[in-house]
Amino acid sequence: MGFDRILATQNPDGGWGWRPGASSWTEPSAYALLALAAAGARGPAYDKGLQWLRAQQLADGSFRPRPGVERPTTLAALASLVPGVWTGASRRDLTVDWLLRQKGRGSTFFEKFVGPLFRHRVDRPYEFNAWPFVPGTAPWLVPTAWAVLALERVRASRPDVAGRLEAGRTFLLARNCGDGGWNHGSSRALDIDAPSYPETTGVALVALHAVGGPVIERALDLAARQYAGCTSSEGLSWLSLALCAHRRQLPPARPPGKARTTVEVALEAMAAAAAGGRHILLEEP
Amino acid sequence: MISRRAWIGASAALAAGCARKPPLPPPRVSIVRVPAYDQSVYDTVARLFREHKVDVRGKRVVLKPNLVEFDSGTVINTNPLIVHAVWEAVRAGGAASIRIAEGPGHRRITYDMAEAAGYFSLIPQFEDHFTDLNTDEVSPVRLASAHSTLGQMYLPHTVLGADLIVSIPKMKTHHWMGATLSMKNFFGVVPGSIYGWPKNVLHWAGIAQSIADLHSTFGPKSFALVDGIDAMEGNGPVQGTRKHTGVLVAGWNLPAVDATCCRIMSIDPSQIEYLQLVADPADLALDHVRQIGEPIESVRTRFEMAPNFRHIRTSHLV
Repeated sequence: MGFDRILATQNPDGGWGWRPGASSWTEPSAYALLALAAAGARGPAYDKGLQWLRAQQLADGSFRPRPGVERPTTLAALASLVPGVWTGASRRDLTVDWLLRQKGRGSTFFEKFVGPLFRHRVDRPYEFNAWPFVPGTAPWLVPTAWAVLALERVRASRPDVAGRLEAGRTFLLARNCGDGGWNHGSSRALDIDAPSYPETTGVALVALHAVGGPVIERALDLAARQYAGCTSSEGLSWLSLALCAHRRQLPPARPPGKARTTVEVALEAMAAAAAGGRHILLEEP
Repeated sequence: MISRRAWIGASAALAAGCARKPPLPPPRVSIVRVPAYDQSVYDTVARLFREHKVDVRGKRVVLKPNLVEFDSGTVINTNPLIVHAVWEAVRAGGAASIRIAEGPGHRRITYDMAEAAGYFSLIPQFEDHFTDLNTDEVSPVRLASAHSTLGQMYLPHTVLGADLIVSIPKMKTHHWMGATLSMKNFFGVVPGSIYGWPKNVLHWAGIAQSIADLHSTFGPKSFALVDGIDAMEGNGPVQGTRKHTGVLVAGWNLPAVDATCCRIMSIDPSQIEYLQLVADPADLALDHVRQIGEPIESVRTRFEMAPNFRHIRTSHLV
């Protein structure tokens, strides 16, 4: 079972590395905790992991990628999804406020309307206030998807997030590729459509679980076809999570791809739980 | 008796002569015809290593291929046969350790891409010898030059600790840079775990400028071997098409290697922005680079370019 592997590879400090035996980093630790939560394994190991993850929150509300690298990242949004990560509303609001302050670079008036006059033609780049991985860079699909899911969690107690939440969803929809799926967030460059990837198609569809319409339906059809031919563990897991999020029947079971990394093992466990009815990424607090 | 003015002038001339750096020997770049990815590649690579006196005895060596996309049927990635040939040459040369390392910029499923590209099947115990540079341990390093605004970066221990890096790119056009060769290959050392996917911080700092700064940091301990057997033309580096060029290009001077590759591709190297930043045009001039092996005119072929770079294509340039 995936969560057995996750428990077995937890570091003594409570976190998880990208691979077993490696030092603890925020992203694999967050995914490991999500997998344990999805399996209902919230015991001492989970609590120790939570303690480690909480310690990665910086004073401004962002999260560092690992101890010793004091750089803010949108991993704050991913960490927000881990059940029990917040010890109180103040720590949660610190992160939510940080997320609300983040805009992908290119969102100012100059960058939207004047900059493109001097730039190569790409997607209409920055018309939506979506999220970058790190401040000072452009918005991309994965951090925006994390942020959308994180802001959804708090929308009842924080009505001020509604505008950005909608902007994030709009960005995701706008970056839909010509083939119907999503890649890292660049659907077109130099007037040429870019292809989608299974794993990021899955990420986008999970984030857009509350959205319907023809774009979503077309994407779900593609996701089902991608599932049939995908050999990547991470790709299969995200596609499963996406199809479950939209209550689509999963295609016939596939042999899983080889899960080599902590994130891949965690995603397999999360996907298995979602197929069994518990979608940890969509749970309300 | 010498006048004071003459004495001052003579002293200044003497000081300038002492301060002037001795001219560097012309960089040597090999061009070898290799018609196909077959067993002859192994002997060819070994010969290139001898030709350029690549001494790996007791050294920690990192092989840095170009692994970009999840597609075995295209020319996006460095062919694993080339990487294995380099591996065997380095192993035979008595290296203390050998790692194959890459950090793809768009997709995070590195091991799956390597498997699809044939690395697992061709290179024994590949997973044991491979490092995903996107998720390696990192340390802060001040870049060795300041063409960009990057300044200091967190870079992977695997490349920081290497005594020798063999840059093994695929010869490709690039829709933002014109060409992507041995120097742009260093974008793959920037960890996505710190800077995200894609590594957009490099674009905002200036792509050409970032290439120049990463080259200044890693170039001095690097040897380049460019996989130009099946190259990519058109809308590179991902959506271009196959261009059989049938060459391997190698050398210690990465700008000279890249300039040579450009000439083979019928691209004017003086129009490549990152080459302009790192080298005086005279240092990359055809009559300054010592070409070994095939003459350029015998292997030069016209690469299709993205529309925004057609102006740098010079089919008449030798």
